[in-house]
Formats: sequence, structure tokens, C-alpha cells
Amino acid sequence: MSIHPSEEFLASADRSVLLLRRCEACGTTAPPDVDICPRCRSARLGWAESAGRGRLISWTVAHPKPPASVRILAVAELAEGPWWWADLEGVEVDELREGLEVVVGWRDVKGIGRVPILSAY
Amino acid sequence: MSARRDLAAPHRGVIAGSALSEVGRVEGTADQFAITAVARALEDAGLGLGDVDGLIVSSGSTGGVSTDLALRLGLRDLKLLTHMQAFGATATQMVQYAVLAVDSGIADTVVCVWADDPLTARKHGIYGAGVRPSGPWRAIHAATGAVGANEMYAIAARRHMMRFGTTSSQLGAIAVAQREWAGLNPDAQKREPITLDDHAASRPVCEPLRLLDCCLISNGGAALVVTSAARAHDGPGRPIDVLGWGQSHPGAYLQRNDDFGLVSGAAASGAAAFEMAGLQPGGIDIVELYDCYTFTVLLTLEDYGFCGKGEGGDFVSSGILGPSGSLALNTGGGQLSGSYLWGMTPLIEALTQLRGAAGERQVSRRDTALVSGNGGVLGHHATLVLAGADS
Repeated sequence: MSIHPSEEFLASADRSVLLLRRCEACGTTAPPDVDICPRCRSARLGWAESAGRGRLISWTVAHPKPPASVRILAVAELAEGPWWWADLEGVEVDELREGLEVVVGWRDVKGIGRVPILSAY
Repeated sequence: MSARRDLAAPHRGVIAGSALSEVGRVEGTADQFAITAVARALEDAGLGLGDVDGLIVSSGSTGGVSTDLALRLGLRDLKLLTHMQAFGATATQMVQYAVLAVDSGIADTVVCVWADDPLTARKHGIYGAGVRPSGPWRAIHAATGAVGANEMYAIAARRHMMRFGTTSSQLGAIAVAQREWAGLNPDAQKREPITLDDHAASRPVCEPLRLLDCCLISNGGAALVVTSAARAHDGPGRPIDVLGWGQSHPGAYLQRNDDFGLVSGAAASGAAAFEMAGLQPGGIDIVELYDCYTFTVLLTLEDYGFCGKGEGGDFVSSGILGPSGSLALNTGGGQLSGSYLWGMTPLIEALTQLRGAAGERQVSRRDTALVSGNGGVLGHHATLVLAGADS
């Protein structure tokens, strides 16, 4: 029995599946990190698997101090509606454009487990 | 229906005094900066610690100020005491709550204080608990890379650029103008003039934001004193009335926000404050906007109605900014060139200007001021419309 919804989210991430919230009262698909439906205020939220595809809304190319390398942080609108904010890997800087198709990728992080990021289509 | 207050009532809350501690690349700890700022603000108001019966504190990045400050200051039997945290919107909010407290009579004299010591923490390797929200979801987002103010504001700026054609050079006009004001401010951290070419040549931090688009890092503290108009009338300085206020918290951080980077909380909090004050942007003499990034200023100017939505780029590069322009904006250099004291930077500068204490950078028309507070990643917004309380 999990004590926090993030545990179910991470258990699904371990299987490379991004979980979103689905409101049982109104059918809205919401991001995973809400406990109340943002549309109808119901607390009856279940889980729904994302198809793992989206389109770029915006991004930045971040230049940290050396020796850390350049990274791209992006936000993508998933096909289901919610936005996912994460590092974007596998895309060249000159390929970046609004609306670019991307997919949900996976990263294993020490102390947390597998987490969803964004990746080239 | 806008908020209402009786601006003729002698018991109403007004700002009676304000002050900074030493600020910038100075040695010290947050609680010590806070104590200095409180002492100076009370002196500015012509009052003493014995008059204080309310205290609102807020911490900067290192979490170095808490309600324990009351113990440090020897304050007993306070009628109001709390720690607040809405990041850059806190200072503006503190004034709102302190004025409401005095209006209602829960306390007579409320001190508001903020301080931070990021340079000290960095130098001595002290990592305080800090004030960033925590919890499992924040940890997951951080693990995916969805963290970093520079990154998030850059994402917002790019969205505005893609939608409206705003350019980096237009952001540069803000940086150049504020540096000119800082040249007139002996306490500013960066005073040497810069040009648009300097801005364009400054290193990319998180594209499209460059180094000269980003605010400073500063040690220091700031405080202000709110008391009744009747009491402030006998004090040494010009009391300041709050004519209007508002708050807006869009509430979509790391979620879906169709307005992200295009419209901020300033639109709603500004509209509420202007309506309550019965003023429009054209009626404001002194404009002090939260400027963690040049982009934040541009977006806020649009949202407050100084120009149309999407027209901020043309507006700021029209020559209207800077000491020789017609819009007195961020007159101490702001957070970009003055010092970064979160929401206290624009607030204290507004009070200094309204009081006629701004020295070489003093704006001649100084009856009304507008102050913005912006916290998180465009997530928390609060506005004040201030005026000399000449009655």
C-alpha cells in the first residue's frame, strides 16, 4: 500500500510508462502531480497511461559552467493535453522548433529511480 | 469589486520608515543584516523597538531569517508575528498584510523585514535548509531536469519571442537603461555603463538569456515600518499611503499554462491595484518593477498596460527608459545593476524616491509609485500603488 501517489508514478516509470491522472468524475486528463481534478474539483482521480508523445512548446539551451556540458530543457504538450517539463535528449540545437514532435524518454537517477524525460522522435 | 480602505482614517496603516542594511558584496549573515535593517528603519520612522508590537519576517535563499528574529531583537508580547514566503512577491505582500493589520487594530506598529546571505553561504560552504519547496514531486521534477530559474525564465522568454517577435536586443535596452540609473546610485553593485553591443557580447547563460539579462547576487537586508497615519504624521519622514494593491498566483508551475511567458500574474494583480487606487499607468510617477531578468520587466510592462500585449520590445527600445527618458523605471538600477534583495529592491527604491531621498537619481515628480513583486517562475505576483500620505 503506497503512502504517496508519487510511489505509483515511479513504479510505472520503472516500466517506462508515464502515468497521468484521469478524473473519474469528469474524464479530464490531468498531470500526475495533482490530487484534485483541476476542472471539476473531484478527489476521485485514477491513473491513465500516456502514449508518450508530444510537441515542443518552448525550450532553452543552458550553458552551465565548465566542465558540465550544454543541456536542453524543454516543455512539451503531450498528446493527452498536459505539459511535461524535462531535459530533451537526442535533438540537435538547430533542429529545435515550436511544434517539433518529441517522445517521452527515460533516465535512471540514483536515489529516485527511473524518471520520464523528453527525447527525439 | 475591488478592495476598499478609508484613506482619510487616522488609524489606517501607512509606511512610516524604511531602510537597508549594508548591501552587496558585504560580509555578514542574514540575521545580522535583518537586525541592522530593522534598527535603521525604526530610526527612519522616528520610532523605537519599544513601539513595535508586530513583526513579519521573510527569508531569502539561505533560510537565514525566521520568527526567532523576535528573540534576537528582544521583542516581547508581540500581537502579530509570522514568517511569510512567496519568494519575490513577499515584500509587496508584507506591506499589504501589515497595513491590514494596523487598519484592523490587531497591532499598532508592524515591522516587515527580509534578509539573505547567499555570498556568505557560498564562501563558507554553509548550506542552510533554504526556502525552496520540497517533497516527492519536486524531487521527481528535479531529477528530470525541470529545475533552475535561469532555465525556466529563458523558456518563458523564448515563448514570448516566438509569439511576438521580441528580440534579445530589445531585452538589452532594458539592461542598458537600468545600468544608466545605477551609475547615479552610489550603493549600486554595477555602475559602469554598458552598451547594446556589451549586452549582445555577454555570454549566453540559458538561451535566449545572456549574462546581462540576469540579476545580481547580493548579501543584505531591508526593513520597513507600518504604523497608523496619526502616529506617522509626527514622524520625521513623509508617510506613504497604499492607494491600491492586488495579488495574483497563476498556479500552474511545471504544469500546463497556456499563458506561460505571454501573460503573467501582473495582469490581474496590476488591474486590481490600479482599480483600487483609481489610477492608470499614465498617472504613476515612479515605476519599480521586479527585474530578476530583463524579460520580467518587459512582460510586466505589457501586463500592467504601459503598452499593448506583445509590444513590450518596441516600447522598451523606444528611448523611453533611462534617466533621460520619460518613464522613471527601476531608478536605482534594479536587481540587474543595483542589488538583488528580492522584492525589497523595487519596494525600498520606490519609498526612497517618494520621500525625496534618492540623491543624484531623484525623480522630480514623486507623488505616486508602482511596485511589482514577482516570485517563483512567474508564479506569484503582487502589486502596490503608493503615494505620499500628505494628510
